[in-house]
Parts: sequence; C-alpha cells; structure tokens
Amino acid sequence: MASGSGAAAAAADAEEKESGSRMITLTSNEGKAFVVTEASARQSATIRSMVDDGGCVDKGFPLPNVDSKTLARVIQYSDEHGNKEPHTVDERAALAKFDRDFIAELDADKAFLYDVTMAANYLHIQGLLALTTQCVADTIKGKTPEEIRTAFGIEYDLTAQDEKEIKEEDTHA
Amino acid sequence: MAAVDRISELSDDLLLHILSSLHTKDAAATTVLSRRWRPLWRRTCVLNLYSEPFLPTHNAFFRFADGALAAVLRRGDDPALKKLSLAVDSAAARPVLSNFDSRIGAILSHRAAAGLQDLRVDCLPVAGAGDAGDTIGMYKLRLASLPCAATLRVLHLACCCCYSSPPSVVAAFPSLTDLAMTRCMLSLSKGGHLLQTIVDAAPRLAMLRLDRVHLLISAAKTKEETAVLRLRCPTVTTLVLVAVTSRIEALQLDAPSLVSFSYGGHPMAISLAPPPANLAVVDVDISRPSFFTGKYEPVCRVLCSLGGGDTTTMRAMTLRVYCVDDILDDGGGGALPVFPNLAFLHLEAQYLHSRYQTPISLSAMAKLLQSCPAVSELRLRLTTKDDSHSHPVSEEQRFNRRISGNSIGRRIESSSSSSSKDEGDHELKRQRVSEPAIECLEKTVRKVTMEFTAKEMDSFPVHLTKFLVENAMVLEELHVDDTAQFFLDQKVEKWRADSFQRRNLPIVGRFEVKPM
Repeated sequence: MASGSGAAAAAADAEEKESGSRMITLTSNEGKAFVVTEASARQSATIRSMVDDGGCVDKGFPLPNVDSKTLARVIQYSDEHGNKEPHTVDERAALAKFDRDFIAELDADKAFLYDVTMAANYLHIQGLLALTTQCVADTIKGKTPEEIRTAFGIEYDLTAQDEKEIKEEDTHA
Repeated sequence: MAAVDRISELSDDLLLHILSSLHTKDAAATTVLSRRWRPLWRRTCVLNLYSEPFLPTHNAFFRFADGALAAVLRRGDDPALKKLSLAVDSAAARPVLSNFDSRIGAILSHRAAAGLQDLRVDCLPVAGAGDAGDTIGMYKLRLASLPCAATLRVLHLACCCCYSSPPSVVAAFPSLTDLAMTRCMLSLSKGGHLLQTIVDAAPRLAMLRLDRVHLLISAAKTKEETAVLRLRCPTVTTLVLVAVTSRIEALQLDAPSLVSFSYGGHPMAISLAPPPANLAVVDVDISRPSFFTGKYEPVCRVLCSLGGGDTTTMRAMTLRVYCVDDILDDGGGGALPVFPNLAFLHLEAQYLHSRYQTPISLSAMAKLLQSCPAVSELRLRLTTKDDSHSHPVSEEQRFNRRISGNSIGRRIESSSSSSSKDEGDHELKRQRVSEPAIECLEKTVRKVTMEFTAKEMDSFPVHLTKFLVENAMVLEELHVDDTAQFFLDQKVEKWRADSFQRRNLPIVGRFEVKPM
C-alpha cells in the first residue's frame, strides 16, 4: 500500500539521470509545436519506444491524430505525472488530487473527454486512459438503459429481431 | 445532456475498455442500448461481480454471477475470461447462506474462469469490519485447488483466510508476478509457513504486498526462543510489509533482487541478507509500536539492519518514527548508519514541546543529517506530541539521550535563538556549531520542505528551520507550512541574509521561499 510504485519511481529516476533534461518537440495535426521535457514525453509508451529506438529526438514527433487543444490537455497531464516523482504518501495524494480535478474538468465537456480518451489511447498513456475510461464508466454506472441513452445522446435503433433476441437472453439468465 | 452521440464513435477497443471497469450488471445492460453497443459486452474478457447492488438478497447475487459465467461459456472460448473481480459482503452473507464458502468456490472453479490472468477476491468490502486476527466473514480459500493458478499473473486477496492441507502443497503459480494480500490470514506451521510455500510456488513473483496480514504461528513454540519470521523471495523487486501481525520479534528477509522496500509496523530487527544489490527506495514506518510484540528495537538499529550492511545503493528514504528524539542513541544501540548516496529524505515525527527537550530534538536532527551526506531534498513533517507517557522508552534511555544529545543541540539552539546577543558572542557560537560539520548542509541540500505545528516561536521546528536556513549553504528552495501562522516565510529571508553577512560571504545562487 505504502509504495507500490517505488520501483517504478526508482527506475524513472535512473532514466532521468541517463537522459539528463532533454527537451522533446511534439507537433499537433494543426502544425503547432509543443516543447516538453523528456520525462513528460515518456509518459506516452508510443513516444517512449520511438525515443528508445533512437528515433528523431531532434526533429520532434508529429502527431497526426491529435489536435492542438487535445494535445495541450494531454501534456498538462503528462507534465504533472512525468516531471514529478512521488516519493511519499503525501505526494501521491497530491497527484491523486490533481487527477480528480483534471477529470472533473473534462467530465463537464463530454465531447472533449472523448478526444482526450482517443489521444491517450493513441499515445498509450496508461494512467490517463484509465482515468478517462473510468470517468465514462462512472456515467454509465447504476443507470437504466434509457438514462444511459439520454446521458450520451445514443439513438435507439434496435430492430424487432434484436428485441426478440434480447427477450430470449433474459429468460436464459 | 449531450445532443450528438459522440461516445459511439469511440473504437471497439476503447468501449470494451470502458465496459471492463464497470460492474458486470451495468456492463451487461449496455447490450440493449443500440445496435452499436449490442455485440460489445459479449466480447468482454472481464467480469466484475460485486454483491453490493444485490443486497440484501445474496441469492440473487450468486444467481447473477452464475448466469454471467454461463454466458461467457456459451459464447465459446473466444475470447476466454481474463480478469475476474469478486467483491462479496461476506459478513452479511455468511449468516444467511450456510454454503457461502462453496458458492464462492464454485465461482472460482467455474470452467469459464479456468484461464484467468487476473483474479481479485475481496470478501468484506464493508469498511471498518474485520481487523487482522478476526476471521469472521473471511472466505476460506484453499490454495491447492485454484484452477486458474497456472495462468494467473495478478492475484489480489482481501479478507481471505488462506489455508492448505497438507500445508506444504499449493498449486504452482508459474506466471504470477503480482501478489497482494490485505487483511488476510495465513497459516504458519512448523515446517515452514504458507506464505513461503506460495512464494516458492511463484518463480516470477516481482511484487509482493502484505497489508494487515495475520500470520498464524503454530502453537508449539517454546517461550525462550526469539520468534523470527524468515522469508525467502529471490525474484521480488517490490516488497511491502505493513502491519503484518504475528508473535514475531524479528524479520529475516532473503530478497536479493529488492529495489523498493516498505515496512510499517513494530520497530523490530529486520535483516536483509544477503544485501540487495539494487535497493534504492526504502520506506520505514515505525511510528506506532505495538505492545503486542514486547521487544522494542532502537531506530538506529532498525536502520542499520535494513541495509544488510550495505547502504550505498539507497537513493530515497521515507522515515516515520514516533518521536524525533528516538533517532538518538539510547545507549548501547549503536550509531546511525551512513547513507552515502541518499538523495531524498522524508522524515515524519512528533516532538515534545518543552524548553528542555528542544536541544535534544535538534541534536537528533543533526545526527540524522550527518548520516546523509549527499541528501539534496529534505522533507520534514513535525507535529507536537501530546502525551509523553505513551512512549515505550525507559527512564534510563531518556537519560542516555540527554547525555548524547545535549551538547550539540544546545549549541544549535543558542546559535539560532540569537536576537538579543551581541555580535561577538554570535561569531563564537557560529564557529562552535560548525563542528562537527554536517556535510550535506555544506554541499548538497538544495530543497527543504518544512511542515509543522508549533505553539510558539521558541520551539523545536522554528529553531530547526532557522538552523537550516542559516547553514544550508547551497539551499535554493524552501517551503514552509507552519499551521501556527508565524509567517516564517518573511523571517527566513532575513535569517539567511544575516547569516551570510556574518560569514562575510556574498549570497550566491538563487534562494526562494515558496508557499506550500
């Protein structure tokens, strides 16, 4: 409970020493450049593997699937998680609070939440992906199908055949 | 509410990801949302079965669980179930269901669950109930008959009572890397203990976490011998032992691969032998000694034993002790070890608010800093101790501390409480304080965070802050959070300037005081 991520922190620490404080440029699909620390960029497994494969660190990384607004928000997350090493319970609590505030803001703008989710998936930022998908899941939790449809604007398009199948399944379970 | 349906534009993988974090009851309900959602849930590899929404009828929960497992089986083996989370309020279920254990057992040994990679069983989600040592409501898990053992990578158990008969036989866990047990009970028999048997059966185990686990020692133990818990875990890199209760007085860990080690509990001798070659992160919480285990090991000896003789690999340490004075030699306890490469030190301790105690506390801090010659970041959280009687320290130990602590502490204190003294006196005292030198203050401490509660300016944390500000020569950042609101942040700038002026040194580098 106390320091499950201790090994990861130590490993990250070692990596940081090796790579020093290199800066990496990420470019959105609108051509806007964002300069981040390598530690922040390494939150993304996609970028991490490109850097470790001796990729073009100097040229930067174009991200054709991510727009500027989304990328800025993703970087906000990875800066917080990449540039800080939570050594203690308090620091981990502070990071957890950051996550809560971060997702509360996103939750208010569902369309943007999906953009960030897709970017997190594309960039393989596990922590961010878990955070955003959990947020969507929380919206589904405990609701009736009708309430879920309303919450997400899902159109009911099941055919009579589907409805018949559903009835059969119900009797099964 | 959202007017445009954007969620359905997410890829199947993402939607499945979302479904996998839902209670299976909610996830299954999505099959009737729309044509887009209809086939998704049937492809899930994850079941999260929680009894809570079904209460108070437990039978309904078990019927639902059986139905969900049967549905997985019906769709054929592609893809098979990979993850199963089971959370059952067993304290409530057991009195009304006589066959509780066998119904849980039926879920775990269901054919659909035969290829599980990730299994989490929590038998008492209700908060507060079931402290260590209390088996009421615990699910009795027979480790020899876990059908998914061969494929498991992650196994998290909470409120389970693990047993095995005969005790030396458990299933093999060839792929298990992460084992966590919370509020569990494990039998510990004469020929070895079940925990060791499990670890031995998991040749790839990297992470082992035991939180409030009760180890049952066999009744046959003579009173004279010291109860030692031995654990051999050759592959484990992260080990967490928090409030592991048993009648043990010492820990002997053979964990050569350890990178991160956390211990929380009674201050006892912890031997790490052979010394782990890559142990970098250490977290020790011995702030709440239990009276259950009689022997009380001094802080310095706990720390000495940790390194197994080698403290050179440690980079970050979190230390929680009951009282800051505990760091001092109690007489016969030996000195603190040196941590030559420690870069980060976090200390949490209480201090006694007393005119007489302050120099002792200050010298305890000086001793600790002397042991960490390369530390660059220091975090200190100090709270006032209310009751001096609840501490298991004898009068003799207290006397010894006073002897060993007083001289250096007095010097620090008198140099820092300086306002009315004349300048010549100052200079003299400053020189005396500077020996023995505290290497990290001269060369490496760059960032200090102080959090404390203090009743008045003339108190240990304030003296300590002043001492650090005046003597940490390369300090760049200071964060102060004094709940008493002495507005120290305004004073420290002056302390620092005065101190450098007294030394006839120009103020070099940047020095910032930041709010918390």
